[in-house]
Amino acid sequence: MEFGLENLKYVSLTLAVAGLLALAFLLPEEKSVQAGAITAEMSGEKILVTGTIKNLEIRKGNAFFTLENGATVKTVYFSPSIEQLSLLRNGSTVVVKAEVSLYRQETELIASEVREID
Amino acid sequence: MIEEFSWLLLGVAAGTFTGLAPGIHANTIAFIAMVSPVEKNLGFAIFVVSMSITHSFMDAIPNILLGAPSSGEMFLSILPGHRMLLQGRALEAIRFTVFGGLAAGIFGIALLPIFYSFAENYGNILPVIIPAVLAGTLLLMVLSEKNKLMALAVTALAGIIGVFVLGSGIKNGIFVLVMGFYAFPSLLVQALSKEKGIPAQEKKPGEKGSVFHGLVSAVASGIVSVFPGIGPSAAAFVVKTFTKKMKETEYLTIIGGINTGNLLFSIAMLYSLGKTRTGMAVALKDISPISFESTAVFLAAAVASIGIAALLTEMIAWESVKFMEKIDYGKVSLIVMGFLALLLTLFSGIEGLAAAAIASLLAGAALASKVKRSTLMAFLIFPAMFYYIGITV
Repeated sequence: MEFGLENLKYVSLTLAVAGLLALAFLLPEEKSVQAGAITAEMSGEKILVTGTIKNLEIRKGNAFFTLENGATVKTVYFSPSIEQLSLLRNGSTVVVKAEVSLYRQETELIASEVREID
Repeated sequence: MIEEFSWLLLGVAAGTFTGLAPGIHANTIAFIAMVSPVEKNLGFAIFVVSMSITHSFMDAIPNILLGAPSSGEMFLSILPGHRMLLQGRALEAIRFTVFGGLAAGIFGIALLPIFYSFAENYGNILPVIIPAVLAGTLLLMVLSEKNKLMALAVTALAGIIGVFVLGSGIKNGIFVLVMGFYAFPSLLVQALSKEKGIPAQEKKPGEKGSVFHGLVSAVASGIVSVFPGIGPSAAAFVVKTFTKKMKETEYLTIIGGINTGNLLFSIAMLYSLGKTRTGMAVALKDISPISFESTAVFLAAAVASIGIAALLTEMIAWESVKFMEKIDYGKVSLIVMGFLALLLTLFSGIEGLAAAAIASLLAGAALASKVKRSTLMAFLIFPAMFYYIGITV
């Protein structure tokens, strides 16, 4: 089977458009941010942060921990599901989907989802 | 979203520049990206993907237009792209590599689930078969050479240099050896070349590309991505060995396809096996957490970049041919050499520069004795074999 190379541009254009549409569909709504880059000015923003879980405490069905990756940020996960709870372990590296919040003049994250990294 | 799209377009622009600059390897640009003082986030990872993919298309232009010997000498032993250049068919040669990259991108996406499933289900037996496959590839490469004794010596020495440099503690050892084995010798040959221009080139309409060879390149890329140490040129050589009487244009379709397909598959292998098979994958692992979601984003960015880069290469190929007829490659090569030597000294120290010089001497010996430089890939294959056999140096 042969392909006329004069049609390369049409196939290229189609692939470019398909790739861009797929990218637009797949890009997460949340911005990926490093722990050290989270500031009080970002309060209310939804972000993704990668880090290692430290100082984990489970109290009344809520999880409290710090997320470390160069810098440290306090994180609270209200009423995580059992499946989500099983991902929370001291020392495990996770991606946290969260909203930046201010609590007693201190920046913290309100987590809504945790994903484990292999 | 605007930010990520901007990173993608910036990556295309950067890949265009690095691809057109002579002597800059795809792994070099991934390394430069990793050490650059930019916030490492998803957008930057997309930049690395689009830059690497675009580079894989654009570098066909200098690879075909530069470094060919003068028309009289070694006509039959030179690379197919150079042979076509000497026949005034450089534009056709570039278009066939673009076609290969595009075909490998389309077939590669279709084949991804098969290779992913293979890696998921049989990933645990790979460490057992990898040493045998790598040794078989090296043996095949040595046996295909006319000067087998010299090829064996070059392969063995490249392997020994690879084992010692990568185990010596020299920083960024792979970068050092890629520079030494590939970049510096090519640049030096161009700098010293008496040929200052290229023969008159023609625009030939109505070429037909073989879709079958596009599919072959995608399959070969998938296989390459599973096995460490086997690069695109070694894979193309294996395909050529098993395909008798391959036309120049078919070879260029395959080499163009493997160059791009290898990058595409390395994204999927990074997710399924957690292994980095390309410089781009090393950078991605360093920049962003590897999850199903991020892998899907990288693949989409790769597909978009394949389309844009193919379009762009097609658009500027003829202008590049005309431009290359006018410039002095010797001077350009010397400037790039100086820049790369500076980078080496900065990131790997004087010992890195010395190791690259030793590797360059061996590559020079290979060139002088007409041993194909794909045998130098032993510098990666030996350490990979030793690692899987369990030998530590």
